[in-house]
Amino acid sequence: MNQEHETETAERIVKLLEKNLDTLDGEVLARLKLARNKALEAHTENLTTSVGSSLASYFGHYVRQHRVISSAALLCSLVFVGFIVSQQYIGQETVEQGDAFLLGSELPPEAYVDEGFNKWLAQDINQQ
Amino acid sequence: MPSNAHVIAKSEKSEKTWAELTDNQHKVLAPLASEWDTLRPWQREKMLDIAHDYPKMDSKKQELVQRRLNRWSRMTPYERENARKNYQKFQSMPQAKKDELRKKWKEYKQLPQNQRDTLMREHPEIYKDQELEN
Repeated sequence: MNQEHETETAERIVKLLEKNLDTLDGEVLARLKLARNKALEAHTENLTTSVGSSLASYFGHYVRQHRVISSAALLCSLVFVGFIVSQQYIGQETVEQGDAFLLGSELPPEAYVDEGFNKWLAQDINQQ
Repeated sequence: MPSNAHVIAKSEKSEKTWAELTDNQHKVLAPLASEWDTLRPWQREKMLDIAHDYPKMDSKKQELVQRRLNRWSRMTPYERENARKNYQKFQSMPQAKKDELRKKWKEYKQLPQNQRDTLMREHPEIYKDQELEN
């Protein structure tokens, strides 16, 4: 109800102003201009605050979400690196278990089965 | 439990004559060329496994493999199994311990043959005739 009344009043003022615009004196025009500028300033401030708070809210949300994504990515990377390292380690162990690697090892195959060598090593340890 | 296809593949692999081997297998297993066709299927299979792993090794190790292949093929299954077990133990040792054992092996090889024979006689169980038949 009040809003309708205000709108009607505003329309009557606009009509009066249009009708008597040419007859208004300079002081009234200056006051109207000042009032208009104040109204515009107030409106702009309102808009900026509103947009600013929206941006802060959006950015905060982005940071929170980004942090979760970063943590998940870091965790995935660690798991992946762990998997690769373990596969290489297991792979190497498996490969070096073949007879070929035994034959290519630092000791000849007979050294691994020479009981005389074992006995001699045991004697050597006892003498030390 | 191995599948039938796997068993058949293994059987075919171990029945290959020297002439049926590939050029690469010939190259690796050259020290065994003259006796290949007299080897038993399980021996051929093990030697083919060596030929399979051979390209994964560096040239120094490849040379050692070729040099030791003949001696290896003449070892009994018992000796080979013991060698595999002891090789695994050796592999798990720290490098300093490996170096020490390598040095000790060289020293042992410098001992007079009769002294090594005496040490060996104290462990006669490793060369049983029955195992040599396998």
